[in-house]
Amino acid sequence: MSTTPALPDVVYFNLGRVWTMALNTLIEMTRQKVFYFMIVFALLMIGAASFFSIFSFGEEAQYITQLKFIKDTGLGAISVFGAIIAVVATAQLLPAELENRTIYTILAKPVHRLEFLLGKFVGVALLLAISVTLMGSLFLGVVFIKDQNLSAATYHETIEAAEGAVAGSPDMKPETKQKVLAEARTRAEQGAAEIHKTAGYQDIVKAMTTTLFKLWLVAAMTLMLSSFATSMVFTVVMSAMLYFSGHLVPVAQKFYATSKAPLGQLMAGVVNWFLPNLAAFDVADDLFAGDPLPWLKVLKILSYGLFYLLVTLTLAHLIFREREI
Amino acid sequence: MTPAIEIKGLTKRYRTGLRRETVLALDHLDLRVEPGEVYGLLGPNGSGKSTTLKLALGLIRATAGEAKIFGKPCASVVSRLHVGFLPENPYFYRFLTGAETLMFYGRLCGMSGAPLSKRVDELLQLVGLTNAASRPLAGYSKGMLQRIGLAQAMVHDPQLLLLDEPTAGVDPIGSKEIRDLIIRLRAMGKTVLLCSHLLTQVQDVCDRICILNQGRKVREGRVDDLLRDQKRLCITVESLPEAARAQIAEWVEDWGASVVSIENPQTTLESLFLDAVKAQQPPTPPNKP
Ligand SMILES: Nc1ncnc2c1ncn2[C@@H]1O[C@H](COP(=O)(O)OP(=O)(O)OP(=O)(O)O)[C@@H](O)[C@H]1O
Ligand SMILES: [Mg+2]
Repeated sequence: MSTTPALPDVVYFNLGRVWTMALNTLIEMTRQKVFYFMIVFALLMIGAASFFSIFSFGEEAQYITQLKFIKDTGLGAISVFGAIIAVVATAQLLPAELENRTIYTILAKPVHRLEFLLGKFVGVALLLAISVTLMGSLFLGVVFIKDQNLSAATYHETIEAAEGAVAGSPDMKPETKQKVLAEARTRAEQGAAEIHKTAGYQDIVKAMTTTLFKLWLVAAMTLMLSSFATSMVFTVVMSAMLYFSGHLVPVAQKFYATSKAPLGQLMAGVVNWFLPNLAAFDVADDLFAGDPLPWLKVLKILSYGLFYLLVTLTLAHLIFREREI
Repeated sequence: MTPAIEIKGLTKRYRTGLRRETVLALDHLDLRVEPGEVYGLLGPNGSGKSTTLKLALGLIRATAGEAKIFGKPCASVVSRLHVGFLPENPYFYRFLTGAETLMFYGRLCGMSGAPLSKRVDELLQLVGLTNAASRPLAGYSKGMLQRIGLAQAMVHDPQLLLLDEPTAGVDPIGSKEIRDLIIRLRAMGKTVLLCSHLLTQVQDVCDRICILNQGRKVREGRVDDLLRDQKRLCITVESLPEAARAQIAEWVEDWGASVVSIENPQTTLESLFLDAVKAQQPPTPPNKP
């Protein structure tokens, strides 16, 4: 009876195992009821949508402000909620594995540490993608309803005002009446179109795509920190700090360009070179300012994110590979 | 033949806390487990048994020395292809059911589809958890977790099983079932390395044992040999009057022998274990940082 197995020379990296780990991580997080935050987000969106209708003045400019406000709140909320999920959900992954010692049983199987780590990351990345899609759909829904209501309101109000004016001046010639009403119709259509344009569905999708990449990057940075951290609090605090400093990179860049003091230059340089510019992913501000956002620029931002993502994950792997369990 | 496990001069020094204190958990251990044998690793709490297993699985890095499994260095993933591991006090994903847990570990071992489902059913049957298969592990008792841990270790039908206290928390019937299972595994030609504090069970199932104390090997050998070569004799009597004891002692000394102790009988491995560990107790060099 042969009791010594014939073993190959190497076991290759296997995406199937990464996927198994990823799905397991995703199931773990969904069964921990992570998606409850969706209820809070939904309430926030409904709150933002009904905020203005309480004291609505019924002016076209006012309607556009309303829609912009909802868009700004929604995109901001998706970014903030997403960042919280990215940091908190990622920070507890490795500590939970170590505390429950499930990592022993996994790494005792023929599993590469890289497969384990990547599996954990892909699991979080999936969770973030689902979260952003859910929040995004809800958000798009609210914007769509608001867009329909407001454009209809603008349209009817403009027409009604014209009809009122026509009815209020009995000595108006019939041709003039026709002309006024036709003009009003054109204006009403233009107003409605203006509101549709403000809704800007394509821009919303673009903004959500860049936001998702930012969240993936934040999750990867958190994973990298927790690959050597011994406490979850440390990971969360450090990730939050990285998150905020990442958003300050443009400020540091400006400072770097103008500062004369060597220490200031050094600090700004460090921030500039070692931190990804997280503010680059926040395209909502540009959109709000009315700047166009072509797909090419979106693609540029995504490649920037991908580059930092790979660097961060490589670093995390190099640290985790050496870790005692 | 390539040994199933080969450990040479294995040393592990843990660094603890912020101060530069260290714990010498394992001190130049040499160990060789042949294929097809059931090997018992014994020792008091903190003697380095679990540390040895973790080193052999590449979970922690040795300070010195090396460990090989089927001839492959323990740091390589290849060495784990034919190993099943049951950690002490196993604890799994609470949100998965028993069947899902086994499916998960099976997939990690490259199994899938119908063969995997079939294997999972088989294992659930084997460890007596068929009825609890669709319940989340959050609701499992300690002994049930131990059983699912054993099933998980065997999912890919490995040639070598490393079991850290497999019967801890398991009821007497389950404990006997696990003992029988180990005997069956040996009959199938598998190799088992077993850590346990249940000496009667170790005595029953193990071919060879090693007793560790404070990270050092203090006894090793075939269970039969270790227990037989004693020059001592233990006579068990019942209702012997007090006066007769002195008389027997005198009589023994007349024959040139000496009475070591007159006591209630113990299981033989138990006394061997206690002797081995006690004899080693006083010389404890302080751990140098
Ligand atoms: N992660 C760790 N950090 C620091 N010291 C450790 C660590 N793990 C184990 N030790 C120490 O190493 C020594 C050996 O521990 P080990 O867990 O191997 O003992 P054991 O023989 O398995 O004991 P038990 O019978 O209680 O399971 C102990 O002194 C323990 O305190
Ligand atoms: Mg132990």
